Amino acid sequence: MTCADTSSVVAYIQGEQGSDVDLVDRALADCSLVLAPGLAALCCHSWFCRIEIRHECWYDYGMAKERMKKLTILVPQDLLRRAERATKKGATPTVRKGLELLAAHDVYDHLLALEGKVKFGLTWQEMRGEE
Amino acid sequence: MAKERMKKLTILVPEDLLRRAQRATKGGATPTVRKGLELLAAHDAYEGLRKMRGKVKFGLTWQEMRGDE
Repeated sequence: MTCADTSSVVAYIQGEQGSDVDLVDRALADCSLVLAPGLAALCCHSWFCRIEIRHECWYDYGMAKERMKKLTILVPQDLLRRAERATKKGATPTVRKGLELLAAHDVYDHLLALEGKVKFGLTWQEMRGEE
Repeated sequence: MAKERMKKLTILVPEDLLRRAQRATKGGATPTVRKGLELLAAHDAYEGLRKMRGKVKFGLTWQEMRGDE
């Protein structure tokens, strides 16, 4: 898991070069990038924002009655056992957690597609309040 | 090849969540659920690796392993 700072993500999105930009690219490719909430909020679009994902989860599970789908599937016993060990929960929450991880992939793909296509009005130093 | 033991699961999942996950895998419900379980199972491996931190001594340096020395 890689926690990217503001400067690296901004440099990445702006298409700049550098070792940190390469790291961001690699972390995005294997879905191991973590964004600071402030940075995510700054770039708040439907495809980008972890806050939105959290909000959606909170809203879905806590406030509104969401539409559910009943699935009957065959899964390898050993795979299910290992996944349940990781989540320390039963089959249904484990499957949901796995689906949430996959749904997050979509967000990362959108971010990958943005490389070099966005220009920010502020520099990363200004965003941090350093200037 | 051994035939792996399977388990039949009947679960309720949010429609929207399933749709977004399927969009990411570009597959059906069953392959999508399996892929999600595989991701979670991999977390277990990462945890195992983290627990090893500082507890293992290698007989070779990383440069020797890479063949750099």
